[in-house]
Amino acid sequence: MPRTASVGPKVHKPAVFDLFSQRVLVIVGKGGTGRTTVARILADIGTTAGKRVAVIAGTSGTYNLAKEDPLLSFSSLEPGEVLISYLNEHGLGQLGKRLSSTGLASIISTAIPGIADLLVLAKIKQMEKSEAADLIIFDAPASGHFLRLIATPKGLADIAAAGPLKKQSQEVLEMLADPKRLGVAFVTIAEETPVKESIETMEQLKRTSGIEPRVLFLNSMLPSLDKNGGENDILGLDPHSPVYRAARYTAARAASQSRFEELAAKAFSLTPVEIPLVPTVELNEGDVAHLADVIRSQIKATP
Amino acid sequence: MLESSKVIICIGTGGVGKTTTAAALGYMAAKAGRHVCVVTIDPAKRLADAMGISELNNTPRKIQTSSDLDLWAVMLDPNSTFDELVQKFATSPEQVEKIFHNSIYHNLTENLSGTQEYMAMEKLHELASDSRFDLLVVDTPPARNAIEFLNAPKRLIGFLENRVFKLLISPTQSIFRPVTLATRILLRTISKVVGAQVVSDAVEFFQAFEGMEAGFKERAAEVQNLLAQDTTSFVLVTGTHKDTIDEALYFASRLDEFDLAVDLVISNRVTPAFGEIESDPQPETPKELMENLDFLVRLRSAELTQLSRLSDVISGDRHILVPLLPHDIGSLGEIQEIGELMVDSASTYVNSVSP
Repeated sequence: MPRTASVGPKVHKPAVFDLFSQRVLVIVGKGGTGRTTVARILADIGTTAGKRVAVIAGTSGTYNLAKEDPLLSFSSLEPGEVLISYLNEHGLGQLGKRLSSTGLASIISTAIPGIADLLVLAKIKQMEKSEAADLIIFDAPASGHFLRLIATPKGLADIAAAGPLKKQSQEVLEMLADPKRLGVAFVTIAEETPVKESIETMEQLKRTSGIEPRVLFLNSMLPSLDKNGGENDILGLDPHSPVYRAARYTAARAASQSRFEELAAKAFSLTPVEIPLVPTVELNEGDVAHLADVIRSQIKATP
Repeated sequence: MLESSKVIICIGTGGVGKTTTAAALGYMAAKAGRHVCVVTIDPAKRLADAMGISELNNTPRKIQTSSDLDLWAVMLDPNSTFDELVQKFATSPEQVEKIFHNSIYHNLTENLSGTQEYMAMEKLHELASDSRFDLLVVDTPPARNAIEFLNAPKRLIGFLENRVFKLLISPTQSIFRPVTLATRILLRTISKVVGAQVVSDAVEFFQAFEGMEAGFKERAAEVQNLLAQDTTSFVLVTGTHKDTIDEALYFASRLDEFDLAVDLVISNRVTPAFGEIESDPQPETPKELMENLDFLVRLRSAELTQLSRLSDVISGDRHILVPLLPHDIGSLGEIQEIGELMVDSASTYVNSVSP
């Protein structure tokens, strides 16, 4: 079990998150809070349970999955690239091979804000409908961008009077509205700014799309010292000793951490799933397996 | 750098503490007697409140400090900056009206990547000739890739100079009949796929912007020139995680293309040094506390290994490590604390970069 912070958060809704209760899980969080790490670990938990898992990155670039696994697939959907391939598929390919170099794609995406984002969601919907995987984990773009992405189909359903876009928008909206098909997971760290931003994103998401957060992951949780009353332990130690200074540091950070954990738990009405800080800057396979065990003990992931 | 630079540009990916770093550098420079303006974009709320710039406002405001420093801050509003630019370069009030009413123009700042960066540069250009300030500290917009900041002018100008639409609105189009035909088919297809409104909006947009590209281009060249000055410094801001270091290395490698160089690297949120376990002489220390120290020592060592990758692009004496504080940074006092840690760390922390 992960070490919990000194003041445990009050449980408001004791529902345990079920990893397989939705086919698409969207991972949302501020940049640098560890969305990709969470996606990686959840994918590992999924394949361990014998499920076919597809991880989709919302940006292009490298992505280190834990291991080669026949049950695991990976793809990236960068909005600009998705738009260009959509335009190519719809007859613009023969006319302008150089869609991006002629700048047409950027004109279209500026004229219809969100068109590229909609197409990303449409691709995910397609995968979901065709049951390409049992669980699709979408490592979404950073929170600000994500809100725009999720609001897109609604706006576009009105703008695009007819044609392929309208149908896409409606089908994506149906998926967003069905909790069995899609759920949203939040990732944050228990510090003031990231927690407050997550709460803001979560509330806006509820307001604009009616989507309730399914689970809240708190990443990089520092182990707390006070299961045996840490304060008493450091009495009598030399205040200049490394061990004393380290204890004071951890105690101060843990206190702040539990304050913001509580704030987040209350706002989300969820018991946060805690992911302990690992003393490394890059997770290896062993770290992922360890964190998968820790998370598995806090969620439901039975085949 | 704080004494002689005229412009300091803070570059880095989102979430590494760029705004805090810019504010702290500004604070320390003002303390050294400079007349400073911090240009920021979308700061976290508490930080904005601390600097007294909680609303979008293109006008610099003086920050209320206890020691009455000459420290100002401005929170950039990209939309109104763009409006001002249009007003400056337009040939007639009618042209301004036409542009302001175009829907593509409305979407430009939010949806064309690079536009916010361009506006940050524009503001920089404007403030550089403001006699109230002798140092500008710029916090660049949060981009997925920090290099967007330098690519911004090229992108926007490329957008404004779109060939397809330029041909379409060109008065001499009849001479280029074949080209026009192909273009027309292209436009018809676009109408079919994404709607006719897009095409008419785009045509209207490029007609309205006709003749203004030159002004934008000239301006971009001036900004480029300002960036290339010896008195302009680039500060790379990173965290300790691998991805922020990767991005910093990538950025540094691309700076060459622009004839620029990194002057300083600031790595935030580094686990502090507490000293080694062996140096602890107390035998009856609880096991749990020993483990805690061991954990932090290992964490710091992993971070330093990661940070040492930056030694290829910056020498050790220009790499500042700012320790992670047990509390959030959101008040002027805390900004000052970070600023002092930065200046201190020039001597205390730097030597420990290589593990």
